Amino acid sequence: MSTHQNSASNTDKRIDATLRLFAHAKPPANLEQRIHARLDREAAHAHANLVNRLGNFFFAQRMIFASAAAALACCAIVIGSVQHSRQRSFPATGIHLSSPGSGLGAASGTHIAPQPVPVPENAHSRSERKAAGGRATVSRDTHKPKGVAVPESTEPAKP
Amino acid sequence: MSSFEAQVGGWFYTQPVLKTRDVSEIITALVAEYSTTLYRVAYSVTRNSAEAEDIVQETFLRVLKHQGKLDEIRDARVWLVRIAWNLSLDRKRRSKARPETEDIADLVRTLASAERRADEEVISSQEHARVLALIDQLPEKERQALLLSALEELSTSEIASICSTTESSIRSRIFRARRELAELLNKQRSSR
Repeated sequence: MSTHQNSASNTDKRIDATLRLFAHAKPPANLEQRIHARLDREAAHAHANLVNRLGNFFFAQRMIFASAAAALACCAIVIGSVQHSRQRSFPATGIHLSSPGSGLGAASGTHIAPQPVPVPENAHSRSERKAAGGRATVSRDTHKPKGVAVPESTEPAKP
Repeated sequence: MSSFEAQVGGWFYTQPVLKTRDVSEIITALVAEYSTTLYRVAYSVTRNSAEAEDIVQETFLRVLKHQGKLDEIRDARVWLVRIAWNLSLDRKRRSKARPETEDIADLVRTLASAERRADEEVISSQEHARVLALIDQLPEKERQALLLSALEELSTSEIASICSTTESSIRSRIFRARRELAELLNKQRSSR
């Protein structure tokens, strides 16, 4: 029993002796100075990093803003160009028929007569004029306001 | 990082202890007060002096990064040890691929003889390395409780806070760890 106790005691002593190595471990000389030096170095490094990061951040912001502005300008140019083209587009040529019976329609619209128009007796269209010698003439009997100078008709006076 | 912030959030305090002081002054005070403890925590996991120092520096860099929350920290020691422990575990996991570079033999050699007890004199660095190898075989929770309990600066309640558990749970974990370690040592001794 006492041999067992001695053995246990011896084992405990070995364990304690080994653990005591850590309890008595002495840090290298000037450890505190080296810690402070590293802290100062890291603080300076962190400050420089912060400044760089801020610079990069603002540079990135500028780049993003410039890109967005350029994209916006491109869009404005394209949209403006399209709008301009639409405004200049001429109406399609052809006959515009107003819907019958609606009562609406432009003056320029083509009006189709509801019944056939008879041919005039003189077989001339109303717009046909006879001009002598290519000059416009006014008959003598034509009522003219006073003071209006018109070329004299070359037609012989009717009896 | 989000888990880290959640971890930081867990230590928010309703009655701020650290406030109205300049952040750099606070960090300077924290470095002066806790750098040795953090070094020991990191060293207990990595067992490499350079890596332990790097972890301590990394811990204070985290503090600098979260300086806005400094006045809301309830227990700075617990918070810092927790960060250092997690960083040490990460470092240990990443260094699994690399060959082990433990400085235990150097530590045993350089440890002042005044700090060592008479019974330790007979224990060689090889034996320390053997015990440490067996500690590495312990389950994660037991190992953490055992290693943190080795640090005199940390009380059981603080270890419980670091491990997010109760004091009784920590005590039972330490007990189980020592028992398993003793069994492994006895098994190893009997096999030789």
